[in-house]
Amino acid sequence: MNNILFSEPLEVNKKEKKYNKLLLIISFLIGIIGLVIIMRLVEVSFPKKNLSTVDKNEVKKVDNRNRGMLLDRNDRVLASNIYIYNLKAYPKKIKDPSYTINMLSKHIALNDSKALFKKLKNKEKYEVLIKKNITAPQAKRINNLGIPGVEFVQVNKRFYPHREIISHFVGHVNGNMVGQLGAERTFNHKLHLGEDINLGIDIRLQYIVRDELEKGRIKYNSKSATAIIADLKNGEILSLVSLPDFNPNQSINPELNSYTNTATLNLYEMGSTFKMFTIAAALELSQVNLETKFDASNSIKIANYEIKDYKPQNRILSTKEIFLNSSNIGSSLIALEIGKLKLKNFYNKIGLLNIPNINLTEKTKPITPKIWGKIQTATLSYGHGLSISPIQMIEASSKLFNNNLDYKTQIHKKKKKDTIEKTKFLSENTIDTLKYLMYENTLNGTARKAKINGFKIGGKTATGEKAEKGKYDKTKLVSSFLSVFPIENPEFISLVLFDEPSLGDVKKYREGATGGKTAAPVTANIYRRIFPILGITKNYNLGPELLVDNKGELNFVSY
Amino acid sequence: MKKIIFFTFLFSFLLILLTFLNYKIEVIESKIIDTEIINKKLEKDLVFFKSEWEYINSPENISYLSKKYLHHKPTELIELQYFIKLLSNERHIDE
Repeated sequence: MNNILFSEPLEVNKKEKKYNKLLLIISFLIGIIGLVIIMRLVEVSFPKKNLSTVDKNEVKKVDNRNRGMLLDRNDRVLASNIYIYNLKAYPKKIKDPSYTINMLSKHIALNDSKALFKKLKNKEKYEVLIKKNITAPQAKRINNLGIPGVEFVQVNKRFYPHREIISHFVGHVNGNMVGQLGAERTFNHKLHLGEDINLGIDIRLQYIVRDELEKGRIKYNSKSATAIIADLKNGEILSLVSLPDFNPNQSINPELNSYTNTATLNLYEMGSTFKMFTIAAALELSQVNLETKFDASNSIKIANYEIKDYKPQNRILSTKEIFLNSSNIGSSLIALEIGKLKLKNFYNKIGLLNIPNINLTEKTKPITPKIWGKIQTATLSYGHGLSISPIQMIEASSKLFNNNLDYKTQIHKKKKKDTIEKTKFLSENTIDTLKYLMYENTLNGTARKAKINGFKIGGKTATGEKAEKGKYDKTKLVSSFLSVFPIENPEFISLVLFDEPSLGDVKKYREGATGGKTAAPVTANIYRRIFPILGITKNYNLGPELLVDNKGELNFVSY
Repeated sequence: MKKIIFFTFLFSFLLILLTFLNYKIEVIESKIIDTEIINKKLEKDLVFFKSEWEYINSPENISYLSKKYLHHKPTELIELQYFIKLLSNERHIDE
């Protein structure tokens, strides 16, 4: 009995302990689950947008607005993106339009205040554009005024810090940031992806070239003017100026003459610079040497066409004299000696008959003669009958002086790793003879006005007459000067061209505005300023008397 | 039973840890986005300042300013070697 009495409470205790244990486990599990739920609730209660001050999409938006920059060869900015502001007003929110206008006019110039007042008074209009292109500091000042109902809208704009100086070379974009002209068009895809592009141009040279060319254009009252400087080692364009030009930061009218890139789009019958090609072909084909004689005492008549000289020599001339006196008769005789097929083949090889290689989209095919007969062979020898662009002249001439390097002319800067192969186009003897002729021409030939004391440059002048209604007009000239420097080992090539220059107002002055009198002195002026930048040094063996005037005062510059 | 309790506890603990880590990652992510945006804006500002500098420092402006205030002529042909020669000559004269 005692045993029964004692065993009952023991069993109850055991059961109670079991229940308590189970209850503890269940409550522990419920507690854990509850904690997890609370943690999830905490997580949910911090929405992502509260953690970040901005949306992820904004990063993408910012990226999309970044068009790559165009830089010059020394990393100077030629085209970049800046923010400008457009000022808008919401008439419904404006209580006193006259107060608004008064406040705004203190900080920005308003074109037509009366018209604006009418617009702001009209409460039916949702918004009114007050002014475009406001700079950030101006916008900040106006914003600080706290004028009700006005708001600034940020706009991304392409900015060209050098304005007209690089207009045709760099080009411009349209409202949708798509390249329309120049490098902006050529590299549109890469720029759109945000890549920065280094162009071959040197802004310092470009400024000088434009400055001197513009002075020349005003002086000679020419219709347009063109200048190109290229590197003979790799075909990079260091400077390209086409005048008149335009400001790419302002609204552009493509119908204006200033929009045309005369360096790549205008076609000219270049004239005597072609004698360089004719003589190069003859030398290369071993058909002449510098002493070979040609009878230039009389004009040549082929069919109904008479070939005359600008300054007739009326005597027998050597090849050298033909070049130095720029004799059309002599050049024609050399061409006829070479023969039409060989001459055509040579012209084709140097790229005079095809579209230029330059990687600008705006370029023109040359106008070649439909029939290549005896008369064409003769006239083409001195640059009549074939119309090419100035850039094509640079490309073809480069092949005569670049030591047979095989490259294409380009507007961007070449990468160091890019190698240039050599071809066997011209013999060293031909190249040396051409260099000699070019140098002699600046000393004793038609290019004497391009001579700079202490520097050896070589060049060939050219004066082409424009054809109108089937006749050549002596008063409408295309005067140019092609030169290479330093002539001992040519590194650079340049072309300066004036379209219809004049030495005065009278008609006869138009006839006399030859390449030697216009383009050659302008080239010399350009060279005087760019040689220090290009690192071309003075040769002391040439005219030491010209070096120093006054040592004591360190006034050592004397030209 | 003890094992179940232990694993349940471990699972819950890991879940809590995971939730906590998730939260931390999101905080860091948002900070990265903020930094990226600030970076982009700074880059934009830099481009703007570069452009402004380029405009102020353009050869055209430099030429104009140097003409106006320093009465300088455009670059002319001088040479370092000759300049050094001149200096040495001058010293010689002084001596």
